[in-house]
Amino acid sequence: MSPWRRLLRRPTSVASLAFLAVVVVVAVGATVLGVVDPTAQDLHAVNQTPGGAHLLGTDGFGRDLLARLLMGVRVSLTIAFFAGLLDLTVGIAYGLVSGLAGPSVDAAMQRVLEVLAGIPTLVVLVLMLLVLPPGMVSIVLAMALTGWIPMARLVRAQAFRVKEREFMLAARVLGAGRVRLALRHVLPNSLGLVVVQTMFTIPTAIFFEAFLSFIGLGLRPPVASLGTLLSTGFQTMTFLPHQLLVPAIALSAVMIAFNLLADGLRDAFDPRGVTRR
Amino acid sequence: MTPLLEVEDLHVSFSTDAGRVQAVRGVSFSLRAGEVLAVVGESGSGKSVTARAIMGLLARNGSVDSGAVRLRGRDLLQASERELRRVRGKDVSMVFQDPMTCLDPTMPVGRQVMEPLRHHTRVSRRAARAAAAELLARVGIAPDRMRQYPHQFSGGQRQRIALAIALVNRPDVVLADEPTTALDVSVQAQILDLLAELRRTTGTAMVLVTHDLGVVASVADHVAVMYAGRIVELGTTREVFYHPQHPYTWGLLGSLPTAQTGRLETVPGSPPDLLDPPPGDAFAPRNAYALPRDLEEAPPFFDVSPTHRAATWLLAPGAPAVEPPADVRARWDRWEEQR
Amino acid sequence: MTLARYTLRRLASMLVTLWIIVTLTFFLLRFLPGSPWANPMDLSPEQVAILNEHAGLGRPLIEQYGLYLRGLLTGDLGVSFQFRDQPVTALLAGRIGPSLQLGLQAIVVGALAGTVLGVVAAVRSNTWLDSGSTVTAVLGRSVPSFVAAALLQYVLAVRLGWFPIAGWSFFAHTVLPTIALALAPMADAARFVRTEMVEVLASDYADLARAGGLGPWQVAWKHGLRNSVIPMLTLLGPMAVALLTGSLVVENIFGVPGIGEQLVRSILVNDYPTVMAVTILYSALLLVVVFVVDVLYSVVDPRVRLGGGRR
Repeated sequence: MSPWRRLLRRPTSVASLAFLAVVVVVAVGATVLGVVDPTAQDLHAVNQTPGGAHLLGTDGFGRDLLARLLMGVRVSLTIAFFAGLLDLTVGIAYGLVSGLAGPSVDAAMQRVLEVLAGIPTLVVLVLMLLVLPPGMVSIVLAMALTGWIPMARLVRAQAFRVKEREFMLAARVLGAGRVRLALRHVLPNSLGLVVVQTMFTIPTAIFFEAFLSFIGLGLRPPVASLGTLLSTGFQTMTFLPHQLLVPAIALSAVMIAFNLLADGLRDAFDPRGVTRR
Repeated sequence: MTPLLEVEDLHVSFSTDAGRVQAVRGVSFSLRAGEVLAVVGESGSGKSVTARAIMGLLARNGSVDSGAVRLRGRDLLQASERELRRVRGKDVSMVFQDPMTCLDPTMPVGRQVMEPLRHHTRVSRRAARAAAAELLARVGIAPDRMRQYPHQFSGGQRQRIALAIALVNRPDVVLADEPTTALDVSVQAQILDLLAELRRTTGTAMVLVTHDLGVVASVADHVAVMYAGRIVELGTTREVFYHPQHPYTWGLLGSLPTAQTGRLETVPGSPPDLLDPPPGDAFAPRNAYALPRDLEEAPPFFDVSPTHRAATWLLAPGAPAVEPPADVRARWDRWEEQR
Repeated sequence: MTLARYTLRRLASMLVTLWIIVTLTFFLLRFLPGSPWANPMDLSPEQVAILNEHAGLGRPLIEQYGLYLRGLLTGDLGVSFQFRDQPVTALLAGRIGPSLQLGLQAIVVGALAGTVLGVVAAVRSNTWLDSGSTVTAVLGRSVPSFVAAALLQYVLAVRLGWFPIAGWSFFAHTVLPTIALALAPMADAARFVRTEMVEVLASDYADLARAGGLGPWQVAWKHGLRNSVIPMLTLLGPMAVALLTGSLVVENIFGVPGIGEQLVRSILVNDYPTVMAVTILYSALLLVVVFVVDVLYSVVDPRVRLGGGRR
């Protein structure tokens, strides 16, 4: 059975995939096409509760919460997407070079990796965001600084595994260059595991954006992201709980969907559990 | 004398993605106190499943569809899980195939020997420890190694420990599921000697499941040959070895001297699909001696002697006389000489 | 390799990592565009004075670095910008108690609850109990601790009034932050124990125990628990990371006077010496946890201890 079919046989995976597809299409579509306006202020309708003209109510400036939520989801997903992309590129490149370049280069690269892996993500994020200008680019860069390490390890391990296999020996005998080996044999063989690993970095990135914005190191209002919405919502929680509940539920739902999808992908692509801790 | 253990028309099946696999299709045998019955057959013939079904330890997707397993006349298949737990490890115990994996890697072996004892009887820790030490000494493990962990022992030593665990409550019956298969040949012999000795000294009855006919000869009183979930021939060890009647048994015996391992490579063909078992004798398609009737209708047991029976239409009244292969002929000749 | 040599090697590599973190932190804060050293004009004259006095601002860089390293070794982490006359070491020493208490409570509660969930799910696998346990684990993993903290505070403290909203005087104050922080470790432990336990229960030695008359719960208790919980030690590292991260916000939300709360405050007021000290403290803490777990694991597991290899 192909991994994709195995994935689609699992109801939670299918439901998560469908949910995320809808979320992405609606959040990106509505904000890009201008169906909703997350910045329009209506000072006659400040801090409204859900229902009526504003489906999810309004915030303290009379901005529509649904519009801001959609924008927030878009921003968070964008950050997650680019963080994932950076992890992917750097991780694959590092892993391939380390796995195929030969023992001495590999040993040196692994020492570097070992040391970097010892630095806690939290520390890297706090320090980097303290000195970088606030914004999405800084968050993505800070997250990518150590985020690529698991991917690099995975790809390197895969390169080793593939190298051992018969057909790689054959390919070598035929005089294929290392670059060709990497592109023709190692990468296609790692694809499944890379997909699984990426699916685990995306919810992590979404979490860290929200986390950093919540402690004042990430994005700042008036930019809408799940993190800024949560942190604004938290301040008015006692009187206007929906301003907290709306982003909290949205964030949790997206995280649950990504985690379930990642679990499904892992069971489908990696039944032997290589990416498991 | 009533039998100690009686298995009657046992049917076991497993539900799989492809359908229900009928692993055991009507197995009957009985065992008297102190006897050793060897159950011989290829892997997949249902011999291990039979042993597990007796213990009520089938895998989760397996179920006993019909039949009876009577221990001293009491049907274990009708017993509750609670009652079964009082029987397991006390009246009936089991030894498994792979000694490398059957012991808990994080528990000292002494405690593992004590466990069934402490579980079933109210003995003090000290008494249990003394009993375990004595038993370990009997199976050839120095009692001062009780505090050591399984990985500090060799495969043969671990199987000795597993035997000690099975015997610690002085059970009526020990079910040994391929106890020597995973061991080196020289170690196999030691374990077999130990089994024979324990049987003599403890009087425990034993069901010895194996695919290795070589194991059977030295230890067993009776032999049951299984194929595709059924017993095809059952008799005393002498009868099965020197007066075999079922062509499958012939094949097994023929494979004995040629293949050093005792495995059944020399029986050509492969066993039937038990998702949809054939209507007749399941061995017929691989059987050069099969009669047309063997392919259509399942043969009943025909008695050869009061202790010997086989399920093949070759034994039916009026069946054509068949000349067995030369090596079986030679066995028959020896049988005739010794009568 | 003997245990002692292994331990020494790990210790050495840990110290190297820590030194690199310290060095990176030092130079990062001096060269990157937003750092105080790169923008002295953003600092108040008072802060510049503090830096001059304690960090040797204006002296050659290498000398500043040496000063900084010597300070670290003697436990001198500089002086807080925010509380002018207070050394960072004293500031943090006064705040480590609540953080430690909260962290330990959360890890104990989380690991215990997770183990129970995992064992129940494994012994009763593919029943509604299993599904319930799995759903709980997915929730615990997906809902960030600070979201859980905010929701717990709103529902149980603000609306129902069962617990105090914030503060740190009685045991009752610790309940909600502990729960919020325990969710992630609980989810991790539940998942882990379930996987391990399912494997153990399907093992030959579990069969042997059943053949000895033990029921499913007895097998899980006597053989499953040790075999599936020992490997759980390896989870302590990731758990500690999650706890530290969560503690920043959870302490903040519940007004716990701990290190995490201090860090968030210091970030907001650009109290660089304190932020640096906390990040180094966190790095050291996590490295030590990973190191101790590694060594402990080889001590506890008889298979690893005697070089037997796992299974």
